[in-house]
Amino acid sequence: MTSPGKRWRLPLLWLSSWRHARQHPWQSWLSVAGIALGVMMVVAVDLANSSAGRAFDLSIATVSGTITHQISGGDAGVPDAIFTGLRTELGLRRSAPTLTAGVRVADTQLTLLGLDLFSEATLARQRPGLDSSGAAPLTGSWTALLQADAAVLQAATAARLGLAIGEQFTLASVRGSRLLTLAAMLPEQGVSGNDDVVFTDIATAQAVLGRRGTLDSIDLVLTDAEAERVRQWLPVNLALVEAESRTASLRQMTSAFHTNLLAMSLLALLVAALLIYNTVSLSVLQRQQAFGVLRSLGVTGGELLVLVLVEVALLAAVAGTVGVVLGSALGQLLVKLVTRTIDDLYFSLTVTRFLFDPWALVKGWSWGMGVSLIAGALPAWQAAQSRPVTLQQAMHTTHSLRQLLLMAAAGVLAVGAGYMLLAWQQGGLVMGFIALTFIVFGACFTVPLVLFAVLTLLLRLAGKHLRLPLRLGLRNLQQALQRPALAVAALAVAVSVTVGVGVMTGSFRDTVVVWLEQSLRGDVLVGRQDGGALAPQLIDELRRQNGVAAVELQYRVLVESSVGAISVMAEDSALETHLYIKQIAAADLVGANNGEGVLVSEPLAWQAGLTIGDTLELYTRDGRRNVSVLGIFHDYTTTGGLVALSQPLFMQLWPGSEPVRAMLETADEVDAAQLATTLRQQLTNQSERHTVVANADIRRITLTIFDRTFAITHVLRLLAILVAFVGILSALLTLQLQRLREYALLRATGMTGSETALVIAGQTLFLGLLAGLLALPLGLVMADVLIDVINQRSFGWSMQHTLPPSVLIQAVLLAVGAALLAGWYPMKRVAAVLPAAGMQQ
Amino acid sequence: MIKPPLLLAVTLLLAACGPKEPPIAPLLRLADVLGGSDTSGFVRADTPRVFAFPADHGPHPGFRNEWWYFTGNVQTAEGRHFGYQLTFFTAAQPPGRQLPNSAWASDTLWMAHLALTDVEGAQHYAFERFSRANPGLAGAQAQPFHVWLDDWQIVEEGNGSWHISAAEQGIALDLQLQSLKPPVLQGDQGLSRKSDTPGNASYYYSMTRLATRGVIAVDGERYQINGHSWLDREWSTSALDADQSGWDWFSLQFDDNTELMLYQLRTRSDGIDPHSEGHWTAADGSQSRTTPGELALEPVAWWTGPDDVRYATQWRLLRNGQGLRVEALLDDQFLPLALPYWEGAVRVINEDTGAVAGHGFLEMVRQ
Repeated sequence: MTSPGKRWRLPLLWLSSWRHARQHPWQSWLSVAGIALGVMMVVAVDLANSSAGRAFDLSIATVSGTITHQISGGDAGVPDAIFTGLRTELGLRRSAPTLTAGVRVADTQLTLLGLDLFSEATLARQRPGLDSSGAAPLTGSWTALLQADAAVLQAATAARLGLAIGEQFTLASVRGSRLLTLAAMLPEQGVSGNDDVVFTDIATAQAVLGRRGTLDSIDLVLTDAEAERVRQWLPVNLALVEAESRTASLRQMTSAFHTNLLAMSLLALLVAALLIYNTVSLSVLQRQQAFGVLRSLGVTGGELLVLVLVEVALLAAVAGTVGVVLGSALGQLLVKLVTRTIDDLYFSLTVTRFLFDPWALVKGWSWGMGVSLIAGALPAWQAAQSRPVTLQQAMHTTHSLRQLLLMAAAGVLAVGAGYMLLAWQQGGLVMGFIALTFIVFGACFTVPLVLFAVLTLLLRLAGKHLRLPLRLGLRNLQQALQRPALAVAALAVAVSVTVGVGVMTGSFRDTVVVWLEQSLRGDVLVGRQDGGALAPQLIDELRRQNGVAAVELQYRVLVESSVGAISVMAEDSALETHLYIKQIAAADLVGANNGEGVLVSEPLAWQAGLTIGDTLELYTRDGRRNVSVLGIFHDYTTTGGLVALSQPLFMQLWPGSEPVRAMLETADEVDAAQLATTLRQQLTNQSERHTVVANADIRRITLTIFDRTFAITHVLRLLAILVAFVGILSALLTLQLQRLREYALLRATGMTGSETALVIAGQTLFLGLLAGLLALPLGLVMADVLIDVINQRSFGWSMQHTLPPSVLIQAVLLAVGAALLAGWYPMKRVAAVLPAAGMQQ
Repeated sequence: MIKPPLLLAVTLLLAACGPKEPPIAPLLRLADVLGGSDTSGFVRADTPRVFAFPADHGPHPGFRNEWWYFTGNVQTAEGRHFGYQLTFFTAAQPPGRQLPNSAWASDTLWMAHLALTDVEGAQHYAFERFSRANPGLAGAQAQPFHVWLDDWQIVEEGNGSWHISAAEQGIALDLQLQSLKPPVLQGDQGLSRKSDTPGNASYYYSMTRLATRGVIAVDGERYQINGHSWLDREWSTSALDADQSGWDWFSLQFDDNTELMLYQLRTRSDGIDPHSEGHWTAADGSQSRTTPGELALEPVAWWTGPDDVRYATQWRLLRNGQGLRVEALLDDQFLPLALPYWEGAVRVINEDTGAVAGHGFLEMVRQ
């Protein structure tokens, strides 16, 4: 039943809310800005991740489809006859040959995918366009592929190349070029996996690539029993591998990357939550008197609770909508960064298109709403507790030491729990982040006690020497405590992220530099563009080349093994001279150089669960050979597993192998870049195309890629700081503006405007400095967790810890700068306050 | 007779092999493929030729289409009856193409159909396969006789008999075939004209009685069987005229050791084309030509297929004044494949005595 009084009560309540908001617009705007920024980050990262994830899936689906197994033979490929045997002897129909290679049309890079239409049909794989069950899926016909020298392109690709059906174009591979006719186009299908793929018949592909007689691999759909039959039947140098295992580690790595990004965006939302809590509790505090009057008029506590929560929800709704719009725009930028990172690090993506996922928008909006409501719940509850006419009675102005100690103890417990979670090895990546969240939250809970202790100590030791306005400022802080503590915590968390990520990327970069130093031998590197073997006479020429002091050779072969396809590498120098070794016993190093075993790369060891003393099975032309793992070396190439062994053992396992790379050491007075240029010109007359590059350039390119990879983390860091800035501005405004009356009183008793401004300046400087200093240990802990737990669990990379002092100094300056900038407006307001007007507030 | 052309099937390949039910309506017009204009460069069947065996069991490059068409009626000792069909079709690409430097380069495309009628189980199974010829995935050779597409194959064994082996989804044929009669040249000494247009003809011979024994498996259940098979061999470049819309074809093996091949070509106006004809083979192997009109061939009962076409599943004909009824052992022997058609086992009933006078196969193709 509704009482007659209730009908006018609610409109009155809303009116009071509205009026309050009108009187304090900056409060609402800051809240909206904070939430909007948080939502923007979540939406943008989510959109970028889902676009990148879809790109990854489609790229995998385009190339490998829904197959269960694959026959591959490493570099040597798979002979045609194996396919014929599978079909005619074993009767395994669900099989298809594949041949893929990078090709060029004019200056556009494409992936050539040679396929046999008849075989594709048996796999019913989900290659866009190949499922012709839909109406008129193609312009032209797939069967046109059966004509000699015919090709099929995505319509967008064809348009980019300016090609129409029936027109001819030259497809160039490393082995030469061939004139093809565009026979059909795949239609625009929204998201499609074929952006940059040119499809041809397998025969045409073999001809274009000069690969008569061999396939890259054979894709199969097999039952377990059939797989066993194939294993028995295959020659020893070929392997049958499960398709999922091929993509699983790639998927694991990219999803780890996505989790990293999502965690960063959620961290921004956490900072936004602190901001919301701050704003809402302030608005409740400001209306304490009004709420008291309302209560005495008969408004219930429950109605006040609802009132405050509805206010929060309205703000969050507006902010969420703004955030979603901004996030969609930012997402388009981020997806480029994310896909480029994946492209650089893991996998050549054939799709990089932005995918607009409405679900991500709904999710981001809901995150903003949920976090806001949770953050607003406590102040709302406090509002509900308002007593009728509790005039002038300040709320939360005092904190007992006991409360602070309890809070800090809870914080320490949370940090302890976080460390215990980190120690749990099986926890995986997500658990690593949960642990980090515990540590961050725990640290926040200790901030009030730390602030109180520092203030008390400062006032007691140096109080007498401080000028009155400064002393006053500090005392104010000590009295208010809760709100400054919140500001310090928000700023400290945001800045600690910059410290953590900064130290992590710095350490990583340093490690990569060391690794490059260690693994790049010589001064100039010569290799074939298609990765093939260097001709012996070419090596002789290089040795005789003017300015070349020495030539070292590298051998490399892609082989199947008990842990999937891996690269095996050897150089004609001792292992420790060209590997950045992570772990090996001295005796084992001697053994490895004597060919008694191999070293595996760190990511391979991590992915395959290999440790020193394990055995690895390598598929050689003469059968499978067991080798023992003697050591582990650092490798950041991520192109899959890498195994290094001594050159004599390599030659024993793969006799007759030719070197694929020559590393030239220049004579003393010779410039490496100059030598590279000279060689490049000389090698143009060779039948094969070669890459000649000075090692300095490789270092530079690698580090460029590295920096590009972490560009997205810089963007996210800046955004987190922006949210924190909004937070500290809000906290300071809250702190100062609620004391306008006191400032007016001070002015009335003779304090000048600039002296009151000094009060605030002292406060903000102190808060900023404290936040910056607190951010250092928190940031270093975060860096440790990122380096030793998150990166380990994400990528299998370990790295040295380095501590660039610049990152630390920057962090403190950042915090102080942000605080001072945020304090500027309150300072102005307070300095301008007129004694009489302020007193009336 | 004229069998579903491969080019058509290839066009339908992708639609047919997906997880979806294959489409019922053919997408291309039969006449375009069998009698279409793109015949330049191919050899035409326009004059009678000298047949030579076993060479002519092998492929005839230069023609556009060729097929090896095995059908048979077999039964277990207990009388459980099966009809089977295993057929291989080729379609050559237009000649004169320059093939890429690859062992996969093929100018011949292959299609194969496997069908089994389980009369007692009232089930009809049908499967199809497609492949390019190279590298060694599908092909045919005369000596030793071998026709294959993947692991479906007919291969000549040491004693001159032919061995059929084909399996798909629990249905399997493992059969030994031994010819009991010499090849029968159909039409005019093996030249079978389908219309007045010169070159709309095929070279056509049949092995009308092949003693058959072996094993048939249905859902993994194996049945020892005995019976008779029939092989139709035909190669051509174009056969049908524009106004011809399909055909009815019979291969009947009578219990008195005689055989009849009979086809009638249908016109778009639902009439019977005058080029329809047939061939009797006597017990001693001697042959005589006949026509549907001479035998008073007429349909008497129909079954409507999923393609909405009425297929005649009972026919009547007169042999030397004796009324014979040809009836399908199962009404639904429709092959819902890329190119859908009705083809199945039939028996011949003496209308006077009601006794079974023989078995055979009936094929009905409509567009």
